[in-house]
Amino acid sequence: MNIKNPVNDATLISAYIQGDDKAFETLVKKSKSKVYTTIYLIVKDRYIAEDLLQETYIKAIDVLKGGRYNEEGKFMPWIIRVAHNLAIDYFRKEKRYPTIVLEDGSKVFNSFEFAEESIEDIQLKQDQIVNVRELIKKLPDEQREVLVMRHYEELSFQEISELTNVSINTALGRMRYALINLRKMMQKQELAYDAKLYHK
Amino acid sequence: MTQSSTTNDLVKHLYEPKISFSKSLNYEEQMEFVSFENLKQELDQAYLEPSDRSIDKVFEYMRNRIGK
Repeated sequence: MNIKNPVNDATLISAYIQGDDKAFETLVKKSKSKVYTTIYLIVKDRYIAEDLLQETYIKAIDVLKGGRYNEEGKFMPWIIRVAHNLAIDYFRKEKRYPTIVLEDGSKVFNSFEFAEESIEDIQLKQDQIVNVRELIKKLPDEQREVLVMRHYEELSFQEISELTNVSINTALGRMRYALINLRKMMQKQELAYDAKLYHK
Repeated sequence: MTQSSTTNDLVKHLYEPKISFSKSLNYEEQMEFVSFENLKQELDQAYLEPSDRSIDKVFEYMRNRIGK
């Protein structure tokens, strides 16, 4: 396989089915971040997400090698859907799908310990970017679900509407509220950070 | 949940853009749209990478399965 030339997923799938391990490794490398982020934002636990990621790809291997793959080369949406379903199944089995209640702004930031040294302040500022994931986890379930499906799983609003059994308008409304709530939480986070900085 | 078509269209345009739609936005809607675009970029930074160990396990399974 010529690595310099981009190869589409359909070709990689065919190559893997015919015995080229490297083709599947390429598919994994291309999709692992999306798959892992999707799972993590549903289960909210990195260790469980790691397990489910492995399970996702093992299932993919079995389906591909078992001759049961029928997605016309659309590997990415398929593997994301497998990951999504495994993450949801995890909660069904464990019967502990969490109820997310939007907390008040102050509580969101209680976990932040503002440091004395400026270098730590810089680190905290970087953490705020990383912390987007934590804020997503605090969204109400319905809003988080649509946001993860649209942004990270790259499903269309039409597909989300069909999968969640709501109208497109409701899916769009949930997405809008998810974005608005995220923006509010980020703004509060920035205010909390600035207030701490200026009190020094 | 009741939403006006304009606000929902704004969100739809963010992910599934149509060139003609942008021209119909008033100033407030444009500001809202820019704010959503910035947020979208922040969401892109939230991607996570799994551990190498997990990926190695997948590849190990793949090789062993083929070897059978």
